[in-house]
Amino acid sequence: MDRRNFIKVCSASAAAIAAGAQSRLVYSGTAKDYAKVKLVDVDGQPLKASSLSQKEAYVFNYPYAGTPCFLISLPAAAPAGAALKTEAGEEYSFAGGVGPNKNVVAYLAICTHQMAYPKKTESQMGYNAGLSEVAGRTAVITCCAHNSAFDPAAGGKVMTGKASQPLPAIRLEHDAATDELYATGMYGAELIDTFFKNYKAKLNAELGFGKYRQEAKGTTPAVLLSKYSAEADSC
Amino acid sequence: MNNEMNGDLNRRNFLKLSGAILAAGTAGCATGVTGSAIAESGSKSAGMASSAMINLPKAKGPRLVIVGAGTSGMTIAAHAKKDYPNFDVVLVDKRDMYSSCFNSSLWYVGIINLEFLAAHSFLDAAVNYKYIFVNATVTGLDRSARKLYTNDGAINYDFLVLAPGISYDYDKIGVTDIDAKIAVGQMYPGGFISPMEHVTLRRKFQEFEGGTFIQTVPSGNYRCLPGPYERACLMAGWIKKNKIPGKVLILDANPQVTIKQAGFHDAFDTLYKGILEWKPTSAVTGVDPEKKIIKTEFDSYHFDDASIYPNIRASTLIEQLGLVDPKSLQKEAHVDTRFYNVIGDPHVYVTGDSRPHPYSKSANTSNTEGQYVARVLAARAQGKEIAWESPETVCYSMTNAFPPEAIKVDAKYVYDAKKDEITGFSPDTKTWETRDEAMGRAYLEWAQGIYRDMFGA
Repeated sequence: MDRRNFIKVCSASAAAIAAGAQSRLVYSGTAKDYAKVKLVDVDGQPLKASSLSQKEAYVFNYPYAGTPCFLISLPAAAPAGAALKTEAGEEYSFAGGVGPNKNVVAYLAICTHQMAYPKKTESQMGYNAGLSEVAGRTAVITCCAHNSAFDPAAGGKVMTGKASQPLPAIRLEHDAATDELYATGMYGAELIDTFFKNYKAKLNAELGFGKYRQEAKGTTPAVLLSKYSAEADSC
Repeated sequence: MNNEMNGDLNRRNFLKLSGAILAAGTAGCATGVTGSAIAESGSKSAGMASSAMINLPKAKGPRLVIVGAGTSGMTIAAHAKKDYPNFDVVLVDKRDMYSSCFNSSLWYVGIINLEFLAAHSFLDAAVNYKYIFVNATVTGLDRSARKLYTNDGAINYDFLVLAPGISYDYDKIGVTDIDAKIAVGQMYPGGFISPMEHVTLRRKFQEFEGGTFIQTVPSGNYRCLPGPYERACLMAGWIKKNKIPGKVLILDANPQVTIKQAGFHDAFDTLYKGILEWKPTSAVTGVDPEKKIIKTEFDSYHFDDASIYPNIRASTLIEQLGLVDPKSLQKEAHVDTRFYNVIGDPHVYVTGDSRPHPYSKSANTSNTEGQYVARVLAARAQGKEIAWESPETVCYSMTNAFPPEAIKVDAKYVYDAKKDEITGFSPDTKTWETRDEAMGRAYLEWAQGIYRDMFGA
């Protein structure tokens, strides 16, 4: 698979946080740069961080045509710094939310347990803004297939269930002048190769042969999960 | 591809005394051949020569041999090398084609197709998880020499996992005559072991034109506690949808529905009133397969068709290999409660539904247990130990087929260190017993997630 280089920025970003250098991207861990892509609505108009719905997640495909992600506007700021660890034992920390309220986050919407993801017909992966029966808390990402829950305010950390690593986080940038949002990369567990390996036949059938591997460029539409999946479930 | 593989095996067989009785009388050595009394005699025989090894590459690290390509064995095979890359993993199964037992009842009413259950290749799993799949039948075990025997030759192991599943125990439902055992098993299969049973049961659904369909539920810790109730619901739904002049009778050995009681009773009472009758405390005490009569302690029932689910026990392989816990009522293996090794033997493990634990004998239990056992093995291969971890039983039941609506339980278990026993469900166990379509959808994704974990594809 054609991938960009790994970039290790642990110490650099830690220093950046310490220096209060929040104007630029701040994160740590194993990250991959992908094309800088503007998040837009179905009509191609840029999404504004301060006017996102907080009732449900948006879905956008990034960094590839076949990899869905959640964009979530949380009810409160998501501070940087949550300590996270991949299944392979790699430690990293959460870069925190973006936007004027530091409450906008994004994650690969593929369950790290057994890879449920939002499909056009249905989704067991969902964002529950209300009280989750599985997690016993509000504002959580749930996978109803095997009852895993992830904390979107803490870097996608596993809250309950058999998922063995956090959801990979999408690196977001916020343009304070325009209130627009960009995806620029991903950090955390390496999941995409395994996802493609498992779903290649299905993705070929749905998107055309090999299309799922096309990198997102320019803009990518983010639509409400309830519009993206005919049946969107949370638990 | 399977033919090619079998051809290869056959060529090798040509060079050996295939099918020879394998036995060894050394101390600490258990042996066995399916249905053979010779194994118990401890006599030596041809084909036992150490040169009759399966032709495998030289092990590149500690060799982990896993017997049984069901949920437990395949999960361990999938995870062992990820947890400890030095492992050299070999998975052995007598089947060359997988077909899922879990979810199989959904096929009978068309919620899923056969591809959903069976389009999963052992070859793909072996490639994806970097192990070797051997299509052979286990015939014996020499634990002192750490050697597993199969119809295709022997394999040396450093660690051996036996995950052969269950066998039926017809004696416990009063079917003791060998002719009757075979007739009942072939005519009215329980449908909780082999794919051919599922094919037969689906045909029964498709051909049922009326009268009484009996589904029996055994006592004991049988495989898939909600399974027979779910199948009864699906048959009742099938009867209702197709306006068949028939009914379903559940003869339940237990005084109460064994799991998700509220959810099943709601389906019995609201969806299937007049179509489904549930009779508790009605253990089967005899079956006349020709006259189509099932006897219980006080009554007898005529049926037009049936699925007779007898009691279960650990796979007969466990008994043949001399690993049964004498205290086990279901002839399950005598293993360490936390770490699954045969007592006194840190090289041999028994997992999945042959284990003696009071865990639910179900797919998600074996899947989560298998992930844990892989970590136990990875640790022990490096001279370490890990803390005990409970398996998790997330389990759906489709109580309605039209439209598909399910109920769910999510259970973990408690280990009591003083007693060295599993003493029950953990306090955070939850049930969702109001059926809905969201859980119906999640049910299918649940299964597909487990297939992905097992096959990596």
